[in-house]
Amino acid sequence: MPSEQAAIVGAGQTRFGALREGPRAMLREAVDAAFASVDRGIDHREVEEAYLGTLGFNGWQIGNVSAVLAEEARLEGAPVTRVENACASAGFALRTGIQAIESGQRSAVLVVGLEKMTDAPSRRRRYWLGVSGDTEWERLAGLTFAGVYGLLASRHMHEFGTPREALAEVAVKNHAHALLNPKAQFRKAITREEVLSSPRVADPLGLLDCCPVTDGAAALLLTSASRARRYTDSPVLIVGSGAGSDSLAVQDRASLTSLAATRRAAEEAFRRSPWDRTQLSFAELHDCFTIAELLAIEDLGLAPPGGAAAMTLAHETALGGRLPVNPDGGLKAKGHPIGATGASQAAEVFLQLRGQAEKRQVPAAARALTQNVGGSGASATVTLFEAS
Amino acid sequence: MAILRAAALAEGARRISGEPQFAPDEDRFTLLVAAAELTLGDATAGGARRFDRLTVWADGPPDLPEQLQTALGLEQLPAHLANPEPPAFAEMLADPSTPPGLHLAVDPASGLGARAIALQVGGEGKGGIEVSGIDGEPADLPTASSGSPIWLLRELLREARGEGTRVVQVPGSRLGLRVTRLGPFPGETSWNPTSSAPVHLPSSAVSGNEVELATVSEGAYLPLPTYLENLPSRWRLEAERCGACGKLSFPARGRCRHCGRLDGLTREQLPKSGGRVEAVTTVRPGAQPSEFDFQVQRGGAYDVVLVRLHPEVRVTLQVTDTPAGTTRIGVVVNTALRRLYPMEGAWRYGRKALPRLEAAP
Ligand SMILES: [Zn+2]
Repeated sequence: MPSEQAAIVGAGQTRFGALREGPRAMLREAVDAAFASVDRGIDHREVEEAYLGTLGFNGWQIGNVSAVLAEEARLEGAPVTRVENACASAGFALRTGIQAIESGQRSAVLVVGLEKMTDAPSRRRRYWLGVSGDTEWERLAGLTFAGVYGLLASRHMHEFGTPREALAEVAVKNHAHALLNPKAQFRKAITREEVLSSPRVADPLGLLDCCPVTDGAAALLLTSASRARRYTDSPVLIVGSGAGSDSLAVQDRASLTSLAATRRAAEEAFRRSPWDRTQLSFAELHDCFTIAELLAIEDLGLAPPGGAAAMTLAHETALGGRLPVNPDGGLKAKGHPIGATGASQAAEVFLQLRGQAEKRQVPAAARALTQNVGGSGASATVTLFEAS
Repeated sequence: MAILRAAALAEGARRISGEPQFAPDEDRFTLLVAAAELTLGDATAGGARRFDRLTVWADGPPDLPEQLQTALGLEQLPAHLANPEPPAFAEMLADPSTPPGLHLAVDPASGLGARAIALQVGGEGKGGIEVSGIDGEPADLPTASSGSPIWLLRELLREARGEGTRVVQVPGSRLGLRVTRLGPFPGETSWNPTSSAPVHLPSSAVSGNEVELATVSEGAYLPLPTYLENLPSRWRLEAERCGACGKLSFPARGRCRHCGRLDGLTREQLPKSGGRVEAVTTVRPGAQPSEFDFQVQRGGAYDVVLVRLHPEVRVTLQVTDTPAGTTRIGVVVNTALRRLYPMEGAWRYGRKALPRLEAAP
């Protein structure tokens, strides 16, 4: 068992979308918002170490990007480490921060996720969107992530009879949620018909099955639970953290309808948790493509294999349903700035478990889960949170 | 004794046009490989055949026999280039004094890979396969090693960089390569050699007569040495069988992916045909990696499949010779060596999937 429990005492993020600000200003805004959210305040000099999740999209600062965070967060010499696991970069940065607290080595750390994606020509953007897939076999066959998830979707539909309508409903629901989130990239309702008739990208996935290209940054302030009360009366407690890996190329995996990394991460996270899957108030899942949300629901054991479609079509995962999924709009509609997503998911949990999520507040939210996936499932984290 | 027309190879193209045609991802090298594979019986799972030597009837490049040995898994055979005037294969078959061996030849009529012939002579019997056709389609030399024409070409390109150099396949040239400074193509406002290549292919290149071979990637790509490292797996689907746990690893990386053993691994050939599609997607324009931009501009969308080639092995393959959007889960596919994309002065090659005619919708 860990010697300490970790808690979030502050969280903040930029708006997600095509932002005018550059990466430095985005880092500053997210970090400042996290500090400002600490009820009784925390001095930046109390942060002993920081972890930055980012892919380094467009090559803005591929090496030593940690130094930029140190400058913008005024860490004054505190160590900063970049954590890179593609789309799960911030999920793993958060996990690293949790481990630093739980081991007793640190009592206050900063976890940040960042990606600036819209500031290059579309051709170069497309180029960078493919950098985290398997280059030796998948890319050589002509696949980017849309294609890989298209393959997974085709198999899921074949094995379980998953209807296209269920995939579309994921997008419809997450767009409806994003309508209530002032930080979201797409604040526009869409219909099932619009999703189904959107131009195909990688069959069976259409344009509206895919998450957008997004700028964004998010920051979390973690302390030990014992120390958290200095800063706030309502810290968000971390009660479980798990992670897993899998082969880079999908061709090497045992199953095409399940991400083993998510399953492993969930097993580890729940092993330590004082409560189980049935007691979740809501979940923040990695819906980079609509099929990914269905896979996540099943891999996390929130529905049996093949059962996520019915659950989604019955609106059980919508706000007001039995188990709301992605109340912030998810990657699909809030946006997916690659390296920032894992931190932004936790920032949403911070608001929800403190009753500060305004129009999208999940009633009586007390227990939450985040799941962050790298690429097509080569890595994944699952984190469990509880209101204090 | 008979020379068999290679209907099987061309079946995908025939299906569309009714005439033997060859796809833009075929060239002299892939035709030679396809003809040889058919002769060697990969597609028909024939009995083990033995050859004493590999003779390539072509005028180079010098490492063409070596490339073919790699593609065919015949590294142990003595191989050489022979008189570029190819023999009359039918006469060779009839002549008892013909030395045994596998003979591959390039069509003398065009000199640019218009025809490839594989011939088995000696051993248990005589036979051969002739692959004909490929009207008007140039063949790029498939080599990238030092001293080969492609390598020389790359050196020339390096010198010429910044002056709008394009590589043009010159019909009639036996080596088929010459560097010509043409400047931008019509409709192309500028060609910036430092931009992320491949450069936009104008409509004049749609016929495939001109290709951009100077493409240099900016980072997310397969570097040439890494590509070359694994050619037996890429070109002929070679796997490794572990002597300790008995399981199969693909691609062959010198270590059992199941138990971790480094020793006691034996090379094993995956079936090159008869795989079943487990998952399929159609990659639409805009969703392709940038290396395939030239292909999408020429031919639009393409299918990619996960194929169960062996009970223990699944492989990711692009589908060729078949209209996009027509491949279905459960379809049986064969595989063939084809061009993938040009990069750093050479074509990258790999296996692609060809849905079997009888299984096609
Ligand atoms: Zn083994």
